[in-house]
Amino acid sequence: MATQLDLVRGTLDMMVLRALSWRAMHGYDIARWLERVSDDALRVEEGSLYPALHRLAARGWVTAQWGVSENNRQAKYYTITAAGRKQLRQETETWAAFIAAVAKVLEARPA
Amino acid sequence: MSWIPDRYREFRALVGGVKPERDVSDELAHHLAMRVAENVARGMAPDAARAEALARLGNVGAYEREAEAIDVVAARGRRRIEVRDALGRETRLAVRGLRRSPAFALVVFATLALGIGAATAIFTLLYAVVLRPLPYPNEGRLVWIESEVSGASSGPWGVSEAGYWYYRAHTHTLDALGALALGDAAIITRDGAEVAQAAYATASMFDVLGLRTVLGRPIQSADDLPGKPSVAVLSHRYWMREFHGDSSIIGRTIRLGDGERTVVGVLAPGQEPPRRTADLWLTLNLDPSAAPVNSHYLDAIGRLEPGVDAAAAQRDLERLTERFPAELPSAYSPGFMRQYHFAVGVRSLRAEVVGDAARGIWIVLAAAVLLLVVACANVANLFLVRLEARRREVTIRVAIGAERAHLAWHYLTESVLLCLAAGGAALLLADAALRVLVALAPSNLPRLSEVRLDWESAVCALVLSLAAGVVFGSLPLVRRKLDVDMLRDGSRGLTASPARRAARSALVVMQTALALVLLAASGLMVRSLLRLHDVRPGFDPHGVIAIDAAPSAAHGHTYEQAAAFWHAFLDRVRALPNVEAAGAISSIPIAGNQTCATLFIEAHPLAPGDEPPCVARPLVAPGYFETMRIALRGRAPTWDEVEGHVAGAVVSGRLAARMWPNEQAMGQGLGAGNRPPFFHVVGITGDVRTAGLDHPPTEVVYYPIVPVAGTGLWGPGGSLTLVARARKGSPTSLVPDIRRVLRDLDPEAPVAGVQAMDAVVAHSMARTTFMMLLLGVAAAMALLLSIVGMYGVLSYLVGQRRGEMGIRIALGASGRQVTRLVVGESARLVAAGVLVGLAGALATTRVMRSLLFDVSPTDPLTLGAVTALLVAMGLAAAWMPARRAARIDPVEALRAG
Repeated sequence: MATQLDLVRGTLDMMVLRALSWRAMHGYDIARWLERVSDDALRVEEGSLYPALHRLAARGWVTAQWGVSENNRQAKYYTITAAGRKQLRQETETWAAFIAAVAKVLEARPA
Repeated sequence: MSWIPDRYREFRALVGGVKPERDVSDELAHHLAMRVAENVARGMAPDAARAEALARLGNVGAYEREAEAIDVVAARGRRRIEVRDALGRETRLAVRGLRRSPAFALVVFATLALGIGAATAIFTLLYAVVLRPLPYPNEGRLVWIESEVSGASSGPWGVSEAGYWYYRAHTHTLDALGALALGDAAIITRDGAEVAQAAYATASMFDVLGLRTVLGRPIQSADDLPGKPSVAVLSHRYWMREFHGDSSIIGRTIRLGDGERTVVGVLAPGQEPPRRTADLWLTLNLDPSAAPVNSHYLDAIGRLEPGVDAAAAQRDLERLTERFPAELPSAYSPGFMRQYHFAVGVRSLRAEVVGDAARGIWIVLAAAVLLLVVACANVANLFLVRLEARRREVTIRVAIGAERAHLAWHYLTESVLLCLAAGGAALLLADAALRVLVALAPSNLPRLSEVRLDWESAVCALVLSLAAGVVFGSLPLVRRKLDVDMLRDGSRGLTASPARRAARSALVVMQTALALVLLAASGLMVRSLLRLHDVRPGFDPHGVIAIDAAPSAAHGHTYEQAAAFWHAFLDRVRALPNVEAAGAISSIPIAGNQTCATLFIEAHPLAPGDEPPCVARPLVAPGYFETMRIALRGRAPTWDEVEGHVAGAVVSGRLAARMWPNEQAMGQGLGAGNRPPFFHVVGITGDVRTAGLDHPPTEVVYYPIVPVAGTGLWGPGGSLTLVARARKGSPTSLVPDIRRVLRDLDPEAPVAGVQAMDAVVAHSMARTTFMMLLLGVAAAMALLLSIVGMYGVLSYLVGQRRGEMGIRIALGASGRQVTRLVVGESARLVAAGVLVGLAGALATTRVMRSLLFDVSPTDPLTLGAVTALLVAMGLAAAWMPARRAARIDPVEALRAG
């Protein structure tokens, strides 16, 4: 279970970094983006985005700043840092390698 | 000092807990609001919109807490790094600052290390000897019980067997009571006999002291019944030394001088009786039904009931002691109780063990603290000078916007760092000093073996150096307002601020005063020691060796056998080539255990109800007075008389004068019993200070080792101390020959203590010598430091007033007049210091009264001498600065000013 959870959590972090790689966003923006790009297929509890964001901030991969959102509300915007981009690159590569490996296994025929 | 609260808050934030920013809930609220708005825009009812939004968010509370927890951990980590960086930065800055003034740093470091080191060393000594609990469980509840008597030549006494049983049966305040007698036991092995230190104890003593065994069992009450002793318990040390830790020792038999014992146990390491070590523990086998005897040889130790204090036990035992004449009439007559003022004394065991060592060590600690204050005065002076020098720098910094708090912080770090370094060095110094102290300390200082540097010492040094660091570091902050005037007039400050100059003078006056107090204290010890050296002990210790010996059990059953043994032994010793004279006594002066016995005078029978006095009663063998060169009128008994049961007694002059004030003492009859036959006085000796050089001579009756026919004399044990005088060279060179003579005579005779009488006499002065050394070192250092302080102030004064002095010289003042100016300043400071110091000395040296010998605590000669010394040193300190002042070149001085 633990590995699955870690996998999910790590994956969420990666996706959040990916979202932020285009522009600074607040939490709701990120939720909307995830919804849109995954065609609502990846249903994460939106609340879990916030621990993820704070975790990324603690590691120095994103920075946060309060600002005013499009409809004049106070919102906290997250911006990816250079370290965050580097991390995203690494994670993406690892993820791709992992997917490829799993795919190979799944397509394998009995020897 | 308005910066303090800010700085404090900053400090708190730096090291204290971290408060998370509580903004996660705002983020979540924003998220929720956005989603609800979007749902409503899509046409949902507000309630449904909200429910849908909440469902999408999931467990909001849990996520909020999780995010906050992440923030707290992260913030803590950041703080840690900040603190580390800040400390590192400040330390680097401070080190850089100190390296720019190495002389200042070095002098402060050395002075403080000295002061703190001395204080730490003495504190460690005090802690180990006086304050540290004894190594017994429940040591706080253990009390020492003794019999207080007056009018006897020895005392206080221990407790009698009958008293022990009576207290034990009737006390309400003690939950256990044990008795102990420390003595020697001869152990016979295949290689011969040797003497071991023995503790003869009741089984209850093992319970009272809580003694633990590592092997076997302690002595139990079944071992300690009346009758023949049968068991022994070994100390760990003795077991390791003699039996190499062989665990098969349990159940084996050892042979003692008076029979065999079965070893039943080995004590844990460090388990010792109070006040002395013991190699073996043997049983006392006291008989509760024995007839009460007036002999007080037992050390009694009780354990208080929980919640009872020693004073209550004192009252309880007093009540019991008052009943002695009624309950134990054969040992305690009303007359005895009255004449000796017989009473019981109960006090904590620790107080008994520490004894009067406590007072001396407290005084030395006070001296060390005074020394530390003197050292700190010097350091404060140095800090003030440095501050003066930095005043301009600080003013400029503040003027161009340096934050005052930062400057303050900087000074504080600098000073704390320096003082901590000094504290570290102080520990090293203290360690070295303790080694020297332990080597020099009189061996009767209790618990000396426990003296070592440990964490209490480290805490002491740390606290002292931190306190010093904070105080000195805060000195620059005393001024509050910006000193722009100084910048405006552009001068370099011809004179220092009057307040600060006054402060520095006050410091020097205080130092001088304290140095005087310390000098007076050590001067008094020097005088005491000189007085002690002048005391005539009544015998000539130089060249005499004292050796304890006794015939083995096979050779010493009767008075006749003991006499035959000693006669033969002394004859053979006297025949040795380098021996001038030899004799023997049961208890040598000063070092011996002085016991007293009743004395009856044939010519002066006691009135009914009166009790005889108790007088020291050594047994002597022929040759003793000659060997010790004790003046003797009349003669000493000869061997023929001793062996013929007709020997007389020899009394000391002081006793003769008291007993027969108006008669001829020679030929009078006396004895330890109230009926004939009596011993007749055949000789009168000069007075001997048997109790120590610092005690008056004792009244003594020297009995022969064989009593006159028809009397008894404390058993025919034959255990005496041989004294032999060497013709030339060290008397210790006689020891191997004497041992050989003894072994030839009686292979199983044990030899124990060997002491040179010179050393015995020196030992009697050991405490005074030790105190003098410690106080002398403290005083010398204080003197040196205050002279340095004085020199510093005067030099600075000359530097400050260079311009003014230059003007004076230019206007025609002679060098001598300028010199007088400086010397006058010095004289003013010294005079003030001497006045304060004399007042202090008169007020404080009183506490030393019990340590002094034949010198008044306000001895005018001592006070005069130390005052003269201080004045001379003060003027010497003025000499260099005064010369410098007289040689000021007016032109140069004025141009520079």
